[in-house]
Amino acid sequence: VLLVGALGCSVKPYQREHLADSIMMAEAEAEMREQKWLEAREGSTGGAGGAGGGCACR
Amino acid sequence: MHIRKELVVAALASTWMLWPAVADAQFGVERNLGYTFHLFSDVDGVDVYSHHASAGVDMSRNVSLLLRWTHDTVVIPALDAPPGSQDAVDAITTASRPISNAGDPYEDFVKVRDEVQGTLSFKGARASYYVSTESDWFAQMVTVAYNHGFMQDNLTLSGGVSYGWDDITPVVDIRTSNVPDYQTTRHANFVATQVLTPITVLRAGVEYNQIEGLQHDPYRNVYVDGGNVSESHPRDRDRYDVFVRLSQYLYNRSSIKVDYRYYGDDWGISSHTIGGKLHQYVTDNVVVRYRYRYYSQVPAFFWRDEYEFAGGVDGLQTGDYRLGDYGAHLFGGQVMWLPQGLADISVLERANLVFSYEHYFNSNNFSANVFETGLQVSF
Repeated sequence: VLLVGALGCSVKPYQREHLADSIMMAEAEAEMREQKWLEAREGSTGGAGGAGGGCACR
Repeated sequence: MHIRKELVVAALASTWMLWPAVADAQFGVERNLGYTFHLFSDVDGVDVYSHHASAGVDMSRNVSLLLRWTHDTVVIPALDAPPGSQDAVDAITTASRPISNAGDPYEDFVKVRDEVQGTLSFKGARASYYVSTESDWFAQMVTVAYNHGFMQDNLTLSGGVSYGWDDITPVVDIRTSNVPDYQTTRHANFVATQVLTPITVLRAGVEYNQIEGLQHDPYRNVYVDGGNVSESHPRDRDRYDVFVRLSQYLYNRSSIKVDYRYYGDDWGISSHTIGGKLHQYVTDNVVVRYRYRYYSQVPAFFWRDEYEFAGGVDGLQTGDYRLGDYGAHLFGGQVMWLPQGLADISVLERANLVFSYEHYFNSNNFSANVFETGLQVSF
């Protein structure tokens, strides 16, 4: 990603209408909830860029 | 401890409600509220009912406060065999349960968890405190994070670190010892998000977790060499993952998001996860989403189908299928209602109502249904 950025991809703010559409937005809250129950069923973690502790699912 | 927690919650809630009255006179205050109900129901009869509520408020132009509260109720079904017998071994579900006396196993076991998180943001910086309470587990975590945009915000870099400390006090269990223990978690992440074109975004990140302390289920027994012994996992675990996601807008008012994650740890587990989501407007106010996710992992070095010799593997033994070799699938759909423009009511302008259903199953004959519905409003 840093390499791509260094190559100079430049999108002006007024060109970002579609990027601001709700179907393009990150679903951070939903992903955090999903990560919680998936962690209780799988041996892996991560992918959402955050951490949590404790889980009643255990 | 409970009084202190309630005071903290009351203080944060009061701030959320009263601050806008002070700040309204100076600038336009924005508040948002959200509620989500989540039901997880698996093939073993374990049900998890979760209520998630959130409230956010801009306290000034650069400062915002977000509160989250979660209330989980976990219902673990009664055993249909005497505790400790081969038929009662908890081999599939990870929801092991204590048994305080001989009569307990034949009744459903109900466990409740409450979680509160407060996050204060200032420009690109963020600090949060998280607390979670259960009958046998008290967890706390502090997090600081920072993100910054470069090149007209075409590139956003973010990083964060967390430290969590958990107190574990297993409740009385006739099969295993209930010695108090602890767990600490150190977490760091770094994420880069790059706008590639007016309709394409690429996101990639790396995460690291270092966990120390109790990491096995204190209520789970494992059959080793014909006997019944407590589960035992290593007390240290280093975990890392890298992930990448591409989001692409399509001109028929749809979007597609594909992602991949690689995970590894020093217990020998490594996994690959791939997923995709397709969003589509079916009317100006209704969006449907389809998704699929595939997961595959290799086992921990001490995981065995059956332990034939006393002492397991270097003194370690597990009955946790999550440490084994398996694959899993997750698929489902979601309908989102966006009432923008339907009426001249400002609270609806950025509101949404969501219903979703997903089905999860893996190669261990475990499956689960996941329902979720939620409402978000901003005003």
